[in-house]
Amino acid sequence: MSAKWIPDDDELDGLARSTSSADPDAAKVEHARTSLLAQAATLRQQPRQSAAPLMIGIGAALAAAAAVVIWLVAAPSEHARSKENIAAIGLSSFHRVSDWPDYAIAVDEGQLAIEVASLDDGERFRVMTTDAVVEVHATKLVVGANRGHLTSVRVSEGRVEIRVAGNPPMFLAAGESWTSPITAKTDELVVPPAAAAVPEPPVAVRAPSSTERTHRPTRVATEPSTSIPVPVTPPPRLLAATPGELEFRTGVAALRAGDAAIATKSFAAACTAARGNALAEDACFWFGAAAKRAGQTAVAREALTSFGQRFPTSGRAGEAAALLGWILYDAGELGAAEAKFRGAANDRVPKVKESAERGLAAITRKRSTAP
Amino acid sequence: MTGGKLLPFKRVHGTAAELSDRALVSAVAEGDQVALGALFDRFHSDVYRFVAHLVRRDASSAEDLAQMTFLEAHRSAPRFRGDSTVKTWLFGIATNVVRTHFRKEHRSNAAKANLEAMPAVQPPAPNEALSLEQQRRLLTAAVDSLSPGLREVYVLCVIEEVPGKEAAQILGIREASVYRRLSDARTALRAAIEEMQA
Repeated sequence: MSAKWIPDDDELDGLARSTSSADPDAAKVEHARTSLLAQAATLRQQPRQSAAPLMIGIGAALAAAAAVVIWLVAAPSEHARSKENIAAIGLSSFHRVSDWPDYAIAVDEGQLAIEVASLDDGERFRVMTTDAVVEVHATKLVVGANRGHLTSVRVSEGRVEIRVAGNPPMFLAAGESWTSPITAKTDELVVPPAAAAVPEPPVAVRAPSSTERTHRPTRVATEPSTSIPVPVTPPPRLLAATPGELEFRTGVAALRAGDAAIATKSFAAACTAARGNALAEDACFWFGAAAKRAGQTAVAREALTSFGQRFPTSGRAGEAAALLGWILYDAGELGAAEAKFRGAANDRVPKVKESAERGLAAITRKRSTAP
Repeated sequence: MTGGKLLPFKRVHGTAAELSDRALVSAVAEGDQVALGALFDRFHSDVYRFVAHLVRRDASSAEDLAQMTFLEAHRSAPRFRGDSTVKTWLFGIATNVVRTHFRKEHRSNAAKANLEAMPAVQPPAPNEALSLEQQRRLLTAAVDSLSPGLREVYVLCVIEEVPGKEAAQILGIREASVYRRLSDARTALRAAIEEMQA
């Protein structure tokens, strides 16, 4: 019978060092990291939940060294207990678009770890990029974006619905993930056919300049209808952190998703933030157009009136006038409506001219039948 | 980086990857999430391995306790004075996290259940020398059978190769106590190995 193995100190210690324990599962490590950052962010946010200051963080591009968080706090939430935990994972750029019961954030860059508690009836939580909307229900997930385009969604709990422009809705359950099949491109402008097919109030088409022709959206001007054509994304030269750019792109995403109310808020913010730069004209125009789409007539009227005053020589001046003309027509202000339609009747864009002429004809008919 | 006041992450140039460990902790103390993620990336495997040994390689517990260690590090970062290495500091936090875990888990009952759940180490056949793999299994089982106090010292000083002085800081005991417990641990290991071969 052989002697028992009784190691001395050196043999004991040497063997102990060479005996390695199993490495943790890589996916679990990633999950642990995400959870850690989410919890750490919660610990930092809790002292500020009862206050309602307006806080604006500093943004940076992907190559920057500093962490990027853009957080706009609009008004104090009426929820006694926060239903959402949102934490940036590394470099990221995002902002809140609206508060409960229709909570929405827009993500431009990076990854966010999001945890949402069970929602009550009438409540929604959405994550938006320029090309997609992720709607969540009692969920823990990580969302990634790159230059405003959705790149990945990973669900650890609950269920999410992903609506990417031009694609049918997708649903992910716990443990499932989705990754964009293509690299995000800043100049992609595929307008879903459905967006052009939905009937809308008459919206004239601005003739694109020669540099914009490759980005022409499909538009249909019809008699009173409900859709507004999706606007053109600003040219690439404007995509590098222009004031108002993020809000503008959020508005675009909202319109693509069919949410004119969110689009209105986003374009309004963009119109304010973009003062003095090339984006202001588009942002302020679409503020009015989106508001009209959303049925916010008073807001649309004021926005389109302001647009006409601020940008009298804009290529969209006729289009805005036509839209405003119809608002005034519906309000029974025929004289004011006529003035707007006459201003738009000589627009170089055929659709704008056509809409204005229809408006003038409608006014003539209405006056002829008036007692 | 030179000695002196640690600069918060936001006021130094370079990416998180270029910062020293101490500057990273300083940035975590400022609430910098990028720095917290970088700290996790740098030290998670070390902390996990250390914690796994302390909880007898229970992977699920090790994952949770490693994460708790970093969360506690995030809370404690403002109190880090830089008088030990960051790894030592993290191991100290991990040790306390595991001790708390055992206190909550009713240590003795958990230990008995663990020992009962462990697969029996097959004794060698007569006249058969132990293979290296068999020796490793015996040693692993023996380390798992150590009392928590002896296991902490043995894992830190031998497996993690932490110097005695730092181990004393981590465990909150005198350096002389570290060496005494280390000697006791080796004695206990040999006794356990011999018993398992009976």
